[in-house]
Amino acid sequence: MDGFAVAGNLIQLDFNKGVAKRDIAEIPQKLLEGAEEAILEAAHLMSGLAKVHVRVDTGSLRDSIRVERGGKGMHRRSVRVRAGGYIINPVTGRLVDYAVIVEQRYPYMKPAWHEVRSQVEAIINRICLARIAELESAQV
Amino acid sequence: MSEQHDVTYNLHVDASPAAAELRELNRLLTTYVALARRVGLPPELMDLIAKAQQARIAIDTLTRSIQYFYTVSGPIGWALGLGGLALTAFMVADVMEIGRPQY
Repeated sequence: MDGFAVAGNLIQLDFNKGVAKRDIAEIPQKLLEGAEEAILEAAHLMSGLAKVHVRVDTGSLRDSIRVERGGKGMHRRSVRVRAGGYIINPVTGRLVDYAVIVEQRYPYMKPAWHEVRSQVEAIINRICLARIAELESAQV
Repeated sequence: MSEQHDVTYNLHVDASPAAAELRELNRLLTTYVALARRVGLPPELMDLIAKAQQARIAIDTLTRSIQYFYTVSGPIGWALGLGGLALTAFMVADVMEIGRPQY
């Protein structure tokens, strides 16, 4: 492989030519892809935990907890975890409009966030590492 | 009815600082290695400089990302500084040897 050699337990990379040079240029994109995947995973984890924590009567509020993709920029990605709206409560006949009130009295999103928060960094590191490992220079 | 009745947590990732750091790191290390060669430093020492540099940057980046994470996280939104540990093994410009675990 151009710019790449293995001798014993040493890997030699020549960053000025070949695959290694191309791989360096790809790292920011790989990072962004990995980060997007990681925040999605974290958001789904949070959504699942919130569904476990929420108090249930008709189940409409629980069913309204969802993950939505947010904005997208050249170097930015956003994901949202939302509760409320989206589902019609069969008793009131309206969209779920009490998510905030329930959250204030019997928090379900906040505890879910606290549980996920401690894991987000590990998720990002794991997925970003896996993405970087996909680069040809790392295939040794 | 609507959006103001929702509870929303935003999870946001911004990779532009990581991309900028990557470019800067590349530039710095190219300069380091080129200078070291010019003054005739032994390759072992150059390797050591590069490794020390890598370690320092890895620690700095990680520390910064953790601080950023904790200061901006909360009910209004999540904002994650992107940890750069995974990157630094690839950051050394010019030629460098990276130790591989022995099996």
